Amino acid sequence: MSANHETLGEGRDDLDWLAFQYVAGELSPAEEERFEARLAIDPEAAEAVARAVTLGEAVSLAFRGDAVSGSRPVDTLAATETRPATLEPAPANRSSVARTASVATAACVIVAALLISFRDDGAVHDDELSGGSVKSRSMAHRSQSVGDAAVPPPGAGSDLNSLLLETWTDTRESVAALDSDSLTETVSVEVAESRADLASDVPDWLFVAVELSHDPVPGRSNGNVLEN
Amino acid sequence: MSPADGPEQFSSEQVAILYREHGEKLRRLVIGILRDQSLADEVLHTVFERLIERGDSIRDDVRGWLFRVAANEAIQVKRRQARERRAVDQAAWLAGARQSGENAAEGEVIRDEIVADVRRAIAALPEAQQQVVRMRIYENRKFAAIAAELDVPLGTVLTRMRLATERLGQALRKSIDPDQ
Repeated sequence: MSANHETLGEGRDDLDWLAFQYVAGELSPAEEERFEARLAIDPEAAEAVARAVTLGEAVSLAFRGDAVSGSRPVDTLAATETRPATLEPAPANRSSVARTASVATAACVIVAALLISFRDDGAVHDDELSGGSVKSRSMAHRSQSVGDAAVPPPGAGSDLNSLLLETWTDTRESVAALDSDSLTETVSVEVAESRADLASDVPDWLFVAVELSHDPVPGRSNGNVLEN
Repeated sequence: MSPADGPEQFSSEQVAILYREHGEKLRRLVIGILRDQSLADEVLHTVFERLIERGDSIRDDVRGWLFRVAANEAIQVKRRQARERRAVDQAAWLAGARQSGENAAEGEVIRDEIVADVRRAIAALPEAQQQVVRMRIYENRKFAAIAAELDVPLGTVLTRMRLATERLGQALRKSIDPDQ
């Protein structure tokens, strides 16, 4: 089943294919053991495994993106066995993502409410044409002034309009916050040059381990407190 | 990057730079072997602790040392797990893809533009190859099962997958490093 990596002239593609089969669990037990023996001494083979995992991740995310967009319904092992892998942004952007989500939710509520009020407006319009009630005319007036949060529409005591006003106010605040913060939040992919930049991407345990290794211990010649 | 001459241990900045340069590839290597994200994190922790302990004794290429140690440690853990009869039967990329979503703070998130490039590369594949790629990677079905379902020889499935991974691999490398 697998490519024979021991043949002369094994190229990078051959190694990548072998690594892919290994990562996919498609090698026989003997082939797997042989490849792992190679992994232990050959950094190129190890890098090929890392590439295979990266490729698989990227492909999974690519298909997942298509699934989310609705191009094809998916009921797969990937979907049932794991939490869906989503293209979540780096942590620095999570607060802006939360705000974006709240803006999107608020927008949906507003649209839904407007649709409902337009339906009422339509009914009101019919009522007006047919000489409808004063109540219907006041409902039409309220629906026209929904967009201006500074001036509450007259008679805005209905639950619907209160919800709209509250949502619109929250939305404007969220948008203002989003605009000011998102300018300073970017996803950096370059190697950091400052300790602060390093610290933001490197786990704390790493620095603790380094500090512990540098602490001099009385009675030890090399000051290394970590035992083999 | 190499350690300074003499019995010098790595500074925290040096270790952090090494982590930054190699950490994610090492993580993916270990995930590829163990197919378990949490175990992979533990192994990565062990590898860098060893680096800190023995930094002064590393004479050759640090990168090579890191990969060898990571592979050896992961294989040791895998054999221990096998002895303990713990079943780890999920694709490595599922564990890795979960990592991208759950704990992006410690790892390199696969950027949206890379995913978009890969998506385009998939779309450019012949339909037969697209199908096999989807079934193997996204739906996590074994090659034998795919061959049975499509009613084609196993060798045909393998050939389609191999050709697809070569082209997708090229697209991925180009996306990650356009100057390569």
